[in-house]
Amino acid sequence: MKNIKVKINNEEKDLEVLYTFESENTKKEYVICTDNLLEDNNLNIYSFIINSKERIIEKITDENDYMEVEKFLKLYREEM
Amino acid sequence: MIKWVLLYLGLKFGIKKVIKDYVIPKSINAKIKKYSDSDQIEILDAPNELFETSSITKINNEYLESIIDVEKFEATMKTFFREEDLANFYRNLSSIKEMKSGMFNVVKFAKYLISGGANVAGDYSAYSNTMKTNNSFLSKLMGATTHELLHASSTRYDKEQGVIYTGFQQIKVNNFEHHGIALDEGFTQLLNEKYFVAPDYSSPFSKEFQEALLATSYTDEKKIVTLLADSIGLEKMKSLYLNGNLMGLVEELSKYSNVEDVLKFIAYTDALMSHNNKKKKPYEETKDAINFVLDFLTNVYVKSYVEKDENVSDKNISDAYFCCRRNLRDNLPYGDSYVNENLVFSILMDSIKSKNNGGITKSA
Repeated sequence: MKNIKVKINNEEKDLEVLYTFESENTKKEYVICTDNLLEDNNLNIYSFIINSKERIIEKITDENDYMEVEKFLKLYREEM
Repeated sequence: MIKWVLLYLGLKFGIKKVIKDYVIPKSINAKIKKYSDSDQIEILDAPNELFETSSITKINNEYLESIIDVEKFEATMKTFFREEDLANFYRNLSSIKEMKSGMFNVVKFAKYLISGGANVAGDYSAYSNTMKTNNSFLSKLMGATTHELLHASSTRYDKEQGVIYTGFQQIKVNNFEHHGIALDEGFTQLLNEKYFVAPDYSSPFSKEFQEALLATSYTDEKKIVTLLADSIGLEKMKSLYLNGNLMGLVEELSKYSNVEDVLKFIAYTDALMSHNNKKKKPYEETKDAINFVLDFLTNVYVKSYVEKDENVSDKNISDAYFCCRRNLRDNLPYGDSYVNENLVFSILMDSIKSKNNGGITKSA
């Protein structure tokens, strides 16, 4: 199990890495994680952009990036 | 299944790597948390693997680059094989060199002993981690380079023990005693054709010709390992193969047979490959060996079929019988072989019976 430790608005979270993928549309790499908690019967999913050059993970701010992550999740789950 | 999905997604969506084969159950809804600009996010710790981009190859080898598209080969390996099974692949391919003529090659020598000196399209030496392929167009069409690289990817030379573990083959260096060459060559070529070799449409040769040519490469051995993969699972076979774990394969097969018969099966498949390569006519002993191999494969296939299908005992037994018979007929090796229908039926019935009685002991 691979985890990412992150502080979101001063709250520390231990997130389990589910998938990483690179989108051909945006040419960016993303990581998708979960804290394994359900909120309103929905599993909490967190996603970030991987900046391999700088070796850092960045917050997603662009709606296009969120769309890529959503598309991936949908496609992946449909195919399974 | 997951790997096929990844390939599909890879083609469709440009996935370069997936860290974990994790599936969120369909019954659970997933919602992505979104953040506003004012939200403060600070990453405290993240695994190093996240930053190892697969688009940049880990293998830096000039010789390899001169004979193959390394990045593509590595990407295919990472897509279809588990990362934890790629240790031999990374170690050997990072340092593999061209084999100079005159270099002694213990694997080639073993192959020579077994084939009676038949021409081979390529060679890989576990001694020196060197390889060569002949440059003929036939060798290229048959995927000789990727075949040899698969050998390299599955080889470990234990110098202390003096044993080469290569795929499903083991070779003692001091006396060239070797086991499992038939399964090793068959599985290597099966993987090669499954993942690496595709018809070359720019070639002057037709697709049909190229496919027919491929069919001539380790024909019987491919059929044998296909049945074994159907029985014990392709993914398990791939893992054992890349780790040079013939003993692991013996253990898997021993679930359906006794160890002595598994070892006899391996010895017979080797002997038959040698016999057929030398293009000798069959005689009584080879017929016995063929019958043993066919019965062994039938036994393993039918037993694993019953084990996999939880409801087989409640289903129409004739369905199971016809399914096994058909699959065996498609895959049994040695040309003029036939399915021993009585054997299929008796193994099927015995397996169902023992499954139904599983765990129940007769009272005293």
